[in-house]
Amino acid sequence: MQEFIIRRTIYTLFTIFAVATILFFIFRIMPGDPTAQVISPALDEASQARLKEAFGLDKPLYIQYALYLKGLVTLEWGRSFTTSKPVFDILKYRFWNTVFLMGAAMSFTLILGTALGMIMAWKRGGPLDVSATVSALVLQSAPPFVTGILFLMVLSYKLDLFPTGGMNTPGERLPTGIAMLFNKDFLHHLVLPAITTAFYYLATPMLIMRDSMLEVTGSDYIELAQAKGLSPATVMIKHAARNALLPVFTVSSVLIGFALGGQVIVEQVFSWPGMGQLMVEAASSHDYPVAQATFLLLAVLIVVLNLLADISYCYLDPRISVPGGKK
Amino acid sequence: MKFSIIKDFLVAQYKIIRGNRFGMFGAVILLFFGTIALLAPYIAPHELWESLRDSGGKLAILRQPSLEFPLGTTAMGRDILSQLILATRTTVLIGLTSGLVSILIGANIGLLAGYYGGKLDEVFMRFTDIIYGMPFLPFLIVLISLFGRNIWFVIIAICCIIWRTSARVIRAQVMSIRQRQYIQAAKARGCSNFRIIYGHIMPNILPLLLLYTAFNIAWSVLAEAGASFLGFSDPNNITWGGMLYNLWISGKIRTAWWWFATPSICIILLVSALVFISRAYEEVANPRLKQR
Amino acid sequence: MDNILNIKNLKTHYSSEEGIVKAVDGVSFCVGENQVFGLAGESGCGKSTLIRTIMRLVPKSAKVTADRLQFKEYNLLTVSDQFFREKILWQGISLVPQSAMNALNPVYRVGDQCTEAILAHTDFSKAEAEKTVVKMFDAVGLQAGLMKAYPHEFSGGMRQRAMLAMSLVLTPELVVMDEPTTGLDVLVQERILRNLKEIREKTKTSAAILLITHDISVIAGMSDRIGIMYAGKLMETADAMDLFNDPYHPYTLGLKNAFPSIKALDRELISIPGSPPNLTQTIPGCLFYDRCPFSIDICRDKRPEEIEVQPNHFVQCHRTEHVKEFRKLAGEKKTWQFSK
Repeated sequence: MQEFIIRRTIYTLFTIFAVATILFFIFRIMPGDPTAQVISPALDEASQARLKEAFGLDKPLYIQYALYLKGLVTLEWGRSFTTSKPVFDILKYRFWNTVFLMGAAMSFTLILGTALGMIMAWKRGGPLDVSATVSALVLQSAPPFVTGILFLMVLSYKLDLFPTGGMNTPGERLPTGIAMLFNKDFLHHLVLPAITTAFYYLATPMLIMRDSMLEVTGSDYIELAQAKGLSPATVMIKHAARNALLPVFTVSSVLIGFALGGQVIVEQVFSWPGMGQLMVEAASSHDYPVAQATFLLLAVLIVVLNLLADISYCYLDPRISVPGGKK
Repeated sequence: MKFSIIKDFLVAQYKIIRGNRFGMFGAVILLFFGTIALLAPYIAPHELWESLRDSGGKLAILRQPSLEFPLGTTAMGRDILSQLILATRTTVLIGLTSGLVSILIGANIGLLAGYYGGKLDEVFMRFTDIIYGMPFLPFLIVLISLFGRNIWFVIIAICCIIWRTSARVIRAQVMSIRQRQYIQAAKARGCSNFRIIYGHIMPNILPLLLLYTAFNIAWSVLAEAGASFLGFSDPNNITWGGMLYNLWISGKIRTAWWWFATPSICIILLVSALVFISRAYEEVANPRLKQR
Repeated sequence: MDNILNIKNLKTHYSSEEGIVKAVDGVSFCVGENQVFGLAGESGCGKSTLIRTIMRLVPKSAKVTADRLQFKEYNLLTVSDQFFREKILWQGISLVPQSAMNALNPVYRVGDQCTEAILAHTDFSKAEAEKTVVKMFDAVGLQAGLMKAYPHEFSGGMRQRAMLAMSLVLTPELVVMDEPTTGLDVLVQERILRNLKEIREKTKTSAAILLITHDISVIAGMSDRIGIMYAGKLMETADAMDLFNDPYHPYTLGLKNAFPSIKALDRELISIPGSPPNLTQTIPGCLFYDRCPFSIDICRDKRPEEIEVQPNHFVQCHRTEHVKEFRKLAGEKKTWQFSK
């Protein structure tokens, strides 16, 4: 298993490297002046020429590539075209906002999804099973901005139960660091975007858990657990669910990847100041350094989370973490 | 000979859909939208960008649904019903094209990687991993931002990414099938690899293929809707997502519920129809899920 | 000797798309204290359903009826689910399941799965429970260290022994063994069966054993009393010696032929032609009619009653008075070569 972990980590690094390279080339083959990628066309000729030299844009491509990689690793990510602030500083703040929102949404979706899936399998064919399946499939068919706007219209505009956007009430400052997570204002603003994202992805863990439970409950060890006189709840949760969770876990790593990409929409609808919203702003205003760095950071986040998920899976399944074959 | 194979295939699909409540519902909706897409220019009562005046001569801005304007009007006085009908065509086209191209890519990569294994498999799978590392919508946004707002870039961007899920799943299935006896027998008979892959293995994974075709089209529609909503779509070819973008930037989201409702419902209907059909195929591919 | 298990006219019927499947259709027998009762029969005869009915492991949709289904002083037909679960399962009746391969939960350690049974039914502490399990492991020949291992680390034979240990931890009065040797190679089979006898002596568990199998040689070696089951009914029930020395039912006679005997090395193997009847059909006569070389018209039309041909030896057959003749004929191959 150690070998597996090392191999996976190497693949992850390779993937990050490949994505960075692809990004580099995409930005080079865009129509128009390739230097516009790094130097804002708004500057005057002389400044542009100077920056060109400073960035090495007059040098051959492979040197530019080397400089690009060096810049990425040393966290020298350039400056925004629109605000001239260092890209790294902008992202530093936005990164955590997205992570918190994602964390809340994904926890909700995974916990609620697996719990529902387990109950649905237990009461198979019943009204809960059918209605939950249909609802989840429909929710999955509604783009997150539709559900988001719907929530806004009903819960926010009409009923005034939740704020209409942003991460905090204008004028009120939020505490920084971990304290922010427990701040009431922050949490109040977190609810709608988090459940919008959660509902969109709910169907996946729910249906997978349900199918997995159905498969597991036919097993011999479940019958034996019942024969041992254990209570039905113990059999269902301790024995069945623990095994049924494994496929859910496998899929959740991919799910997180999809969710991170989709954050763009939810952050836009709820004006949540995260990487997604930044991405849209930057792309619309052709602020390429910011767009490029945000994209890459998102990609790295996805890939690293996948790696962590794969590694933890190994520990969850003793058949993998403990080599077998004692005789 | 080929014709009868196609006919049998179509009859078989009909039976599968017919026997399943979900599938029937999905098929009906698809037929409905398909018809509208085909006939769009002939049935839309008004032009796409025509600012209309009502019977009193005033500019018909933000009218609620009425007899004159069955689905209401936009902030620029345009008929929502007409926009919806014309947008159907574009939305369906983008969804279909992207979906079909991506399943073609994904299925072939899955078939080849799963069948040949070894180095080829490694290369394909590393490549798939890289694509998995790319966040989908941001990629779309970056591409559009660099190359311009054109319907074809949307399609290309979708096709670059969406195939990844079907590739992995199909590869897994092919790997389990290629060990089976009838494949070994075909090899022993001297069948070419091409024939084995496309003549023996592929027909056996057909339910899975069709399942993911439906999914791919669904995801394409959702992706396009998302990108359009954010403003990254072709301004000359409106889609349902694009209509919602216009609504969002007009700032009238609080009041113009009719403008919000109709494109949203259409998106939800179309995607859920596709998802329901794929659920029907899932029960064929995995009979244990059948509710008995 | 008191009877631990007393069953009279037990029926388990399932409804299915083709009709009502009478998996168990009027079975009566008793298992005494400390007795080994072997239930033999081919696949599909209903023996698995029978033991699952006794242990309430059949789906709720199954219809279970009986004149008597008694375990010690408890009426298993009327006790509540909760009582059955808390007081009877595992403490009174335990199970050694068929494929130990899959009967252990792959994600938990084997020792924990054993202590779990103890902790669920007693107020032992974890340490006390573990001590008991270690003792049992020792009795079946497994090292104490294996308690910390996971099921996939065990070989097939080891798993079976672990299942055995697990079934004995609460010293039940009845242990039900479902095909204990299926899927194991012959040497391991032999070892397990020998172990079983040793274990009973070593642990002084006066557990009665209800052993079900399709392998007559296993039954022969282990049982005090034997029941031959066919198509949901008990065709013949007798003490082991009586059954082998004086078999009555044609099916029993046929079964004796089908197994090789080391004593009669040159005897040809004769198999019973045909296959068991469809359990959804309503058959008025004897269920063995189609495959019986000695059947006559009355066998087709009237269901044979159970008669006591010798003390404690019960048979369901119309033609028991010809049994001496049948025993001779059954030894000849041509008797069994017929078609109906």
